[in-house]
Amino acid sequence: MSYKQVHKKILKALKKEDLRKGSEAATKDELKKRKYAIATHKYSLDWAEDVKNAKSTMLFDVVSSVEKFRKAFEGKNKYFYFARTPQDLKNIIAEIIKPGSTVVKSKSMVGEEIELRQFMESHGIKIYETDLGEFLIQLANEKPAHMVTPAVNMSEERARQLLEPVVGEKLNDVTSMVLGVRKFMRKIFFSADFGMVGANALSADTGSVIFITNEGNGALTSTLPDKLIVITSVEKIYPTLLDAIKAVTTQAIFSGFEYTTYVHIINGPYDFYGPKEIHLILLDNGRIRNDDLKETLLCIKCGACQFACPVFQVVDGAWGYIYTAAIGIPWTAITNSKETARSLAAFCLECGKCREVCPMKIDIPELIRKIKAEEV
Amino acid sequence: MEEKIEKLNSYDWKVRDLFIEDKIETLNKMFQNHGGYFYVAQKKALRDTLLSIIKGKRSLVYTNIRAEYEDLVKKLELETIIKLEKGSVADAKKELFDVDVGILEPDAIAAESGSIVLFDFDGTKSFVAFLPEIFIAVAEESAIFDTVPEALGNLIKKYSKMPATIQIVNGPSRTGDIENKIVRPSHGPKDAYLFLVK
Repeated sequence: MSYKQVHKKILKALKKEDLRKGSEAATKDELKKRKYAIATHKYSLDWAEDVKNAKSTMLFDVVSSVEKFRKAFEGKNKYFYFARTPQDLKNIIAEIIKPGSTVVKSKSMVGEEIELRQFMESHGIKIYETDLGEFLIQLANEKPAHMVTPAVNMSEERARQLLEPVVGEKLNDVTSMVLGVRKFMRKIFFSADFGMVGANALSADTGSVIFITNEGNGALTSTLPDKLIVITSVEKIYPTLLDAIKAVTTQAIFSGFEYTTYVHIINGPYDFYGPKEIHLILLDNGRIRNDDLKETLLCIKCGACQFACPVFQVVDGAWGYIYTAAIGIPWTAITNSKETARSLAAFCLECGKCREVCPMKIDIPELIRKIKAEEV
Repeated sequence: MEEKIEKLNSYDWKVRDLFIEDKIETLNKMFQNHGGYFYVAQKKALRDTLLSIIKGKRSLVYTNIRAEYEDLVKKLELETIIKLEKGSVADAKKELFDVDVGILEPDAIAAESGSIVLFDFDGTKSFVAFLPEIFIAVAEESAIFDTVPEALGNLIKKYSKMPATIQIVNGPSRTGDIENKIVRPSHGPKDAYLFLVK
């Protein structure tokens, strides 16, 4: 995206008064929730520090971290793949999933990053996003506005317009929308050929995949289909299972959830019910050989910096391409395009709010400055 | 010596409840906070409460419960009662599509976070915890630990191997994805009950 394109997108968003108001209300609410969640957990700040230290040790030498995890993960009916580029990952997916198959998918920013859903659809695969926010984004054919709450800017009315034709019922309020989707999706969960999940963390000692959800969509995605595919990226590896548990807890707390309803720790396929094989694809996509913006990899994708950003508070998802606002800009530079990141960086106010709220204490303004100044 | 003092100072005394009564109190508070229901019940009262929960329901699935509770569950007047264990139901998926109630005994409970911890080797516990509309966990006092990491450490030692999955359940499923309005259920159970049997 050029500077002009970004400018145009932001101006367009500024003219939508309902989006501006909705966005302002939602961000305020999210920050309040976050403050409460941090206060509830006596150890939240200590754990954030532990997570940063644990992550730093793994990021010091990403290649050997990947190797350690691979060794711990691989086993009977457990297949490990390394994808250097988005195309590599798509080729692997095309090998595993044949056209005509049905896939139920949990939310994954890695999937969004490489536009995997769009690829799978073009490959003749029927894919359903099972997280409600992400399902709305799929139906609207849009990009997520936020890393944790993708449809944060969507109004109830718009959600109704999108859901009614799919569910085939009149949906009078939010409750009937949620229940309508539950009914619609349950049949698909039970007949899907593949489940696909992202990971919030991986542990190098036990080779476990850890992910969290509130809706239980991840529970059904990882339990009902016969084959499970995990797509994730290299910076999610932690030395131990305990570190990984601390990481997902920290991510939830700083996202504003006191607790998430489910924490799933997957070690292997079941020997009776549930998936019989697990395929795990680890994506690099510019992360490993990126020394100048390496600090970005400490990010646990809690999205607190996005909510704290005054630009995001007004235009939300319009300021970004897939990864939006604050830490989204260095993420764009690493995983997508430096040119787009530079165009986005021009709109940063350098207020430093993002750095204040980051649990990993990442110097986000400095990363954005480097991008602005063409130092990377 | 200095090192020892530092260790003592860094230990968070407030986090740990010393007495079982305090642990149960914390557990009660936390589980209700998640939107679940918590009961401390005598064995006889358990039956009555179960009866009131399953009133009007049609089907039930259970796994991993000790013989005395199994007798109780079997005697509940329901159209369908399925015992889920390795090899028991040929097509469990079909049977459990719209099952009303699921009952199991959890492997551990973490008081501080109000969490139900399941060590699932064959998929049965996950099916029972995720698919029914109502999820009931019946636990004994000995299953209570302070924290999730403590519970996991003990269970890994007990089983001396890792299960296929470890599931940590904090109440019933929910979503806030449309305008931040919280709705229960989403894809998992609508209600979650935790019974502590004396």
